[in-house]
Amino acid sequence: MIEFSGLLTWEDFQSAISEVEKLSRTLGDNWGINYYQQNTPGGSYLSYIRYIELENNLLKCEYHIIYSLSYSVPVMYFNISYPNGKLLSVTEVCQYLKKSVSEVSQQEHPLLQVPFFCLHPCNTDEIMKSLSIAHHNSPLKYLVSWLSLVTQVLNIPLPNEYGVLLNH
Amino acid sequence: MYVGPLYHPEKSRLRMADDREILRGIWEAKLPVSFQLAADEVYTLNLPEPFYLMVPRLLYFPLVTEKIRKHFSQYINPESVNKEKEIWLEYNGLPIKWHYPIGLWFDMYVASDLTLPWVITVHFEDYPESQILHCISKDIIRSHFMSSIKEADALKHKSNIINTMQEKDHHQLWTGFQSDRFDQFWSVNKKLMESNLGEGFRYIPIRFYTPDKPLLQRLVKPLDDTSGTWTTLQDVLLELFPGISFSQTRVILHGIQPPMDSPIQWLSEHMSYPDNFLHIAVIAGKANNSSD
Repeated sequence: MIEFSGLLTWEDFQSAISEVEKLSRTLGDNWGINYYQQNTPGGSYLSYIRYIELENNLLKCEYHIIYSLSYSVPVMYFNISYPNGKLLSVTEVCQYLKKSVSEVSQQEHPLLQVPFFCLHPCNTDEIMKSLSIAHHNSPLKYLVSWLSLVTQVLNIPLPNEYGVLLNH
Repeated sequence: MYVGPLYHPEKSRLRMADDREILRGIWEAKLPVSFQLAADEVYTLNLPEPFYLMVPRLLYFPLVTEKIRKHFSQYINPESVNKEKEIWLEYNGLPIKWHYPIGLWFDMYVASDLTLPWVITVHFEDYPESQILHCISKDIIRSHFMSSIKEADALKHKSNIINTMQEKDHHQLWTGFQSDRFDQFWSVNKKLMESNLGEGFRYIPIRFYTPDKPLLQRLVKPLDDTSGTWTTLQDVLLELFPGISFSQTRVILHGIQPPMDSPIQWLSEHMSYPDNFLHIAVIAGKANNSSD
């Protein structure tokens, strides 16, 4: 149950990512759930991989949407790598996303325990609260609203079909 | 180090002054380290001497290794891209995660080896970036430190205390921490340790680390809902490590094995790292007899 708190429970997160995965499959899109630590709160995440062209390089972008037990919100982790596997540096990522170091930072992936980049979760609840009318009482609408925000920040294409879920 | 076994929640605020000794003891704890340049990176004819340093358990390595980097950079290949390179540290073939407090890493990987000084190899080449985070500036360390504090307060107080603090208080936490100013740090940190009498924090910021296993972080309440008693360290371990054998496991915090009947609320208030988390190593293997 989501009141106007801007927060999401783990159970609601699980059901929402399930729905997104289902829709993604029907659209032939790439979102899938990784049941990394099944039966553990926060142990499953939604992942998405795509390739982008940047300055004659084909970069692999990997996005993981993980549930934060501490903040009760979804958090976006991502990595961008060159064809040889080398990761983009902090500076390169900030350049590509046109963001500052304070908005994007390298963190250890809470489940895989390897370096990833992360969009800071501390203000998510405030932002989601201000969108509350759009997702009142629906974990799926919450997640899709949140997704539409972060995919914009990271230049990830999100087909309109996902937005249709917001109008149900 | 004596860890008080009796916890009087009603007097918790008064006890803070008595427990200052414990806070101080943890703050001042240091480890003897011998830093050595990786043998295959030595370029000069004369070999570098090891660099000995007493490092504070509570700090992060990049806060103490600048002079080490400068010292060893005289002995590496001058053709090497530039001498402002990021160094990385290694113990027994394992890259050291700089974002773990020094004492935690020691408790996890070195304590069992029982040899001091701690011999650490310094590398300038082949940064293992798929395993450890980059640390190109002090801002990165500060950002990591403050992130932890914010997450800890999200757990303890729904972020209420950290968010109502002014920027200058945040700044004071960082400067007090990294410049070894105990009073400066604790004059702000004590606010993050407040809770209503008899209630404790909402959740305890706590993480368990087992070598070669995923890190364990779960929501832990300081007070048992049904019995109304204070949750002990033993209670938490039994819940998070089902089937744990206490005689075959060492549970280490700041180099000691805390008494199993320690209330987790008390541990959180008095034995957290400066980032406000309890970082506890859980290691399989015969228990030591000593707890100091």
